Amino acid sequence: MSKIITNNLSLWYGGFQALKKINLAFQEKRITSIIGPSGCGKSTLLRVFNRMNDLIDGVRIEGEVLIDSADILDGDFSDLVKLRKKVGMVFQRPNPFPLSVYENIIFGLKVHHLVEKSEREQIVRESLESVMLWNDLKDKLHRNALGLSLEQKQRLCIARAIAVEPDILLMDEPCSALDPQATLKIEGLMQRLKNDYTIVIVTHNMQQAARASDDAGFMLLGELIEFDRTVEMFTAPKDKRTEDYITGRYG
Amino acid sequence: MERIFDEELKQLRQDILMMASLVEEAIFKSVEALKQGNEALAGEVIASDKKIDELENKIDEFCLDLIALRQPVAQDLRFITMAMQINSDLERIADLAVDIAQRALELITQQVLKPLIDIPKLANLSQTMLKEAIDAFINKDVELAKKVVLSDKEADGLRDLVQKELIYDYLVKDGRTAPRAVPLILVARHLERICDHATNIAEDVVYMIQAKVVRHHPEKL
Repeated sequence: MSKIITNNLSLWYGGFQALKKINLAFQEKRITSIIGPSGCGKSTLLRVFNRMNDLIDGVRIEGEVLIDSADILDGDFSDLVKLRKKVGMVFQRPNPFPLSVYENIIFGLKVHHLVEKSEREQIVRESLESVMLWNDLKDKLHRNALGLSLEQKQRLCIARAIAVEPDILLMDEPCSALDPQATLKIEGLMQRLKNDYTIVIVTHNMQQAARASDDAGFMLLGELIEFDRTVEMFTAPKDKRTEDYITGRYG
Repeated sequence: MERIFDEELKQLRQDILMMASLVEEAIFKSVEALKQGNEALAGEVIASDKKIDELENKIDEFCLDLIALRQPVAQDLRFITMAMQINSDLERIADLAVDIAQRALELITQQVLKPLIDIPKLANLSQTMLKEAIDAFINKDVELAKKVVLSDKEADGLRDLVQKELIYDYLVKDGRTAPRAVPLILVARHLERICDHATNIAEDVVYMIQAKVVRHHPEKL
């Protein structure tokens, strides 16, 4: 089932068109990777899905983005707080708040007034367990999160994102600051998380897209060139531009 | 954009070409040894097999190195994996050439049973199929590869013809012809197996170019 559908989605930063009539359907509870060279529009596309681009001056968007059939770009769609609860995001550099591990996890819950104080401990535990941090941090919940290792910080950010029980997780280069071992651990975590979440990952690392995603889209100069099952794209891409990019002939 | 990897792929293509030319030579000599009753030629085929075996190993290792170090995808991946399969088919063909050379040696000591007519036809066909399969690989010529695949039926037909003739016109009528008839039946089978391997190579070429699996699915050609 499609979780996110874009119809003729175009986006301009002032006079520059960053997305050109993107038509895509992201399937529920699968990992979809978006690959492409720098400046191809992949991060811009990702940021449309929780309307992060609203924060940028001069952005103009056309087309539709349906999440669970509701057009999040529609003029009547105003509940951004609700949208961002439903669509969590993990960034390139782990960005925990300068607060304790515990406070990081419950931050979103407080914003969304989601749970009673009594339930918070349970949620902190479950969130940390789902990113396999509980055993490491259960005795350090009140330490400052900035003291964690990079990988732990990134896991904490994922835990923070899923604490508010989103449906969709957007990941923008989530492993680019991590070493190969930490990267593999995050990818393993993604495989577990896809049982419950629809994951969209933007990555520069083609091997990561090949290893970690079920479906893959290739973008170039704001256009979606090809979208297919990842295994198809990496064994038999249909478009020569995809072929050139993934085999390193592009440039 | 030219990649370092492209040089290595060119090298792999060259290695396969070298392997194919050694194998073509082995078939040619084994068939000539049979036709001429030439012991020296048969001996050359048997001796050359070691070199072919070693080249097979070298190509295999090179392919594994490329997969490990270059992490190929798409057409690069298809090229390398098909090169591995083609390499293995070529080595099997060389073994069949050795088998034919051994049959030639068995027959040299005996009186000629009959003039060879269909066996040379089958030998020509096997050599043509192999040459075209390798040309298709080198030139990425999918139409030529398809032609090779479609020739396989003809090879089966010729083998059946040779077998029937030798069984019903000789073996059944006079059992004492067995030492001369059985090696010829085996030669026909060896040649037909060479055609099968050439067909495999051609099918791999189709996959390499079009990413379409036609092995065991001739209807997809």
